[in-house]
Amino acid sequence: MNHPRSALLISPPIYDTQYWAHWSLPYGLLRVASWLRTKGYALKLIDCMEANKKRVVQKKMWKVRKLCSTKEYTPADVGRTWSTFRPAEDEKIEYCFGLPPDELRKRLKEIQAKVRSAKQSLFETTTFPEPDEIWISSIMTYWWESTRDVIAVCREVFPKAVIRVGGIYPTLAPEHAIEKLGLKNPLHLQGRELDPLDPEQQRRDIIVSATIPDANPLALNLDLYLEDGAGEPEPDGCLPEYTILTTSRGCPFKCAYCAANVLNEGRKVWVREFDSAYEEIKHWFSRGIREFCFYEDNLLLGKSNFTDLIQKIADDPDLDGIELHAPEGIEVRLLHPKVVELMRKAGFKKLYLPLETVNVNMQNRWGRTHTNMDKFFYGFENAVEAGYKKHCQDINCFILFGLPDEDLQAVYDTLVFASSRVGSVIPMLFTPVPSTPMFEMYREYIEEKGFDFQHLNGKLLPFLDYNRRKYPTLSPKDYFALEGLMWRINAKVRSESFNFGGSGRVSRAFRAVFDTFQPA
Amino acid sequence: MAKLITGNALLSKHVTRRDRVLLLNPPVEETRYSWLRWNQPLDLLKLGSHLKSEVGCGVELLDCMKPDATGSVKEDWLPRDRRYHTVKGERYPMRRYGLPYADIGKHLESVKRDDAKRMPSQVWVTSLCSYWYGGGLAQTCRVIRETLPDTEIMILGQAARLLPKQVADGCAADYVVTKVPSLPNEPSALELYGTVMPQFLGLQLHPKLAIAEVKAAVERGILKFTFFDDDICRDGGEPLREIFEKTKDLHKHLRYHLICGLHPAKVTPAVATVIADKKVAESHFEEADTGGEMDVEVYRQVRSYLREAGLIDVDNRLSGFVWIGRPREKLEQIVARSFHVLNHLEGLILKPFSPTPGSPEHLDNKAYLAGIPVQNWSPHFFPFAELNGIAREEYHDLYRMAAFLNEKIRDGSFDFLKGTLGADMLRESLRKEVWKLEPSPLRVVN
Repeated sequence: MNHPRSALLISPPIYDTQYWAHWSLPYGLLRVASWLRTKGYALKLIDCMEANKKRVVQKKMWKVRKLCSTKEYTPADVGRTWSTFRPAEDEKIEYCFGLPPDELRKRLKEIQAKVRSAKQSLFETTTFPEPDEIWISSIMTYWWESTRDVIAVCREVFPKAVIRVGGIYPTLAPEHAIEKLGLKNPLHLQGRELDPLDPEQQRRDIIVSATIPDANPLALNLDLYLEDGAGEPEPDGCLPEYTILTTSRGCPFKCAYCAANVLNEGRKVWVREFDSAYEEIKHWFSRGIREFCFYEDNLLLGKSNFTDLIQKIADDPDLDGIELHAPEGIEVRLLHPKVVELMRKAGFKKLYLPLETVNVNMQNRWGRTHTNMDKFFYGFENAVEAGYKKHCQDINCFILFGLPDEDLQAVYDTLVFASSRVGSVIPMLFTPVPSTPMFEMYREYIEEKGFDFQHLNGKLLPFLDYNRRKYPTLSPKDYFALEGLMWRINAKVRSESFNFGGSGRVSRAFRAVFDTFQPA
Repeated sequence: MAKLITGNALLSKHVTRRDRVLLLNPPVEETRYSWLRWNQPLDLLKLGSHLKSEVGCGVELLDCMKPDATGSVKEDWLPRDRRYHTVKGERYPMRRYGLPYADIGKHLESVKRDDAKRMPSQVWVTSLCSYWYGGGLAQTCRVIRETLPDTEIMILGQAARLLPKQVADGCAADYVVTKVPSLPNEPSALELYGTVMPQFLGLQLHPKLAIAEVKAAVERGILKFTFFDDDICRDGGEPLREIFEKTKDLHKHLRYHLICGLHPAKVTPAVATVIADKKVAESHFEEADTGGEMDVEVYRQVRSYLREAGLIDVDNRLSGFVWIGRPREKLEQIVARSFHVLNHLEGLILKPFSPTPGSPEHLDNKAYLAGIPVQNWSPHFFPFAELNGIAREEYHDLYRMAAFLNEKIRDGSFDFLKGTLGADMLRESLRKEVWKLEPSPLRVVN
């Protein structure tokens, strides 16, 4: 009797100094799961980043990283323990968020033990078999180390399984992945070249770049949180409280810091038929999910498709109570009055707008040719007109900083502008992304510092030393102060944040006193 | 209408060993209640001890403000007709904090129905703040009267002491106790809480009694202590130090919370040693004021004593109050005071002001306050707003500013960007008034 091919799907933990697990669902992997199911696979999911009801994932102190440096250590290396350890001003603690590799090993061994005991039983039919393949998603390039560690654990427990690694990291840096992940003579394939039934591919480890076109229109296979492909219920399994939708891919623009073109093999925009997205929403809504999050390269580019979709949602009384989110931002130029009005009606409670900087020179340097302050005002004013309120996190704007050659005064100008006009700010520390023009522009510095990808995480201030050429006294404290100031702007009382630049008397008094105040 | 009596008369003439007294701490109706978890009816607990030991009558306690097992106090919007309270055009949403009135009624009903021996002959209701008499106090008296029509109701506490006539007019009580009986040697009758103890115990600064109370409380599993005293540094801080030293090692998780009465000018090296100790979970300093000016030097001195006591690093246990809503204040003054406090302490707490009936602030502004109903003297309604020429919305703005300054990032509140490039850059951005940036009049989008 021929058994169906079996695949274990793993979303690895991540090593980082901070992580916000609100939308941590491995949507790429779950879409691949749907695709593999169409090929007859039996599947089992281990989502190491599965969050609890409060949308928090477990974390464990992992190592200490010196900022803008390759130096790393654990307290044990210097004769100390975590309980008494305090990082120096130029260091940060890196945590393992999610299921650490040691605990993953235990989970895999449990699966292995069940397989062995099932083999001895005549009646056991619902045990997931030893996997033929292990599919691992790998997202940020600076998180690649946890992918490596997960592969090592998988290899140890299931040496016969072949491994597939896909996601943003192997797409942007396949050579790095081939060299560093510990795969055995891997094939490097584009998603469109994948053929699970090809005997040659079935025998080899594979690095997968870009998306699998046939998987793009498929709904996420969230049922894997409830039971595996052999019909065995997952312990404490429950559906996530939200799901992620991707209704388009690609972006026609080429911003200097963005890798969308590489991820999507060019500037072409692919749009998913709105009917299938609508059916997916209806399906999960009927199963109790109320929050739907759009993860897109540029949400409004397929505008008519998107507006058709949200019009259907807005008109559907069965979807009453739905919450829609687009936390990756919306292109302000395309936020037309009717679109934003419809978005509000359909269930978008909050908007995220990429302000990034008010400085025209910086905008030009980043290749942001399709946007400018006039366009920001356009989108912002339309949002306010549609009923989104200022100063209460209905409208949030991203501010980018930590870039090489940045004008720090412009960053302060941007945050003061955002505080006053919008009232809510999301600080975004810059990470250079391999394959982007910006990465190439500063490659010499990156190589000179000996940085690998994990050192380029924006939270580790990789360009601190570079920017000291312009600001000789610049220290981590300056960036922490700046980031802290941005977060503080969002503090609210009676649903409103403080307005630095307001014309009210308290704002004026604040400015007058701050202008001359000399702290001791 | 209720009769006015003194505390001594209450104890000597109105209660006998045949009585059963229910001591009741009523719910509170307010627009906000930041210190909710520190509400404890110390006067009732001391009276409880006195009634049991000296009068010998039956005593029970219903503390409507006691947090439940999860540490939270029930709260809800007021009914629709009272949900908003409007003061000079400003609408305040109103909430009830503490046990719902219906639950008080059910409790009394069940006592009446199931256990005649426990039926109270008197209910003594206390009140923590004078301006609350019209809300929770009056509603509670109404529920008692409706449920136990034959039971006498006595009102004690601050409202009864400071506004006896208004309380007598506004509440369905039999007696209003105008003078609080002084019971400095009575311990709090914790046993009245039964098997579920409160999470903390309020103390007064009498070392012998306080030490005994802490010991007894620790045995009952209470590990948090605070002082309800106007000046906890009195006598050079010696009583505070003595209580602390003799009790701090009773349990490894025992903690003191210095939430009021800590005047920076009265902090001595001995008090600083107490504050620096890890057994003190929080210290909130009162505002240091000398003749209308903030005494910045005093904060510096406190910090220096604390350093000498070993408290060198940033410590989020320390914060300082800044008054808002006092008569004749200026916005710039409040902002500057907030900055000074945050410059020396890690947290800032705006403390809204209410004139205590009969206090100098009341007497100095008697004519002005005469035009304002007492319920509107709640600090959260800013009774001096018109006198100060500061709009109530501007007071909300001050809270917003404080929230901004206080927001803890990397364990610290706003530090004026001390030692960073940021201070100058932020000033420069504010001077440039970058928020005035407008779209180009010729803009073309799409």
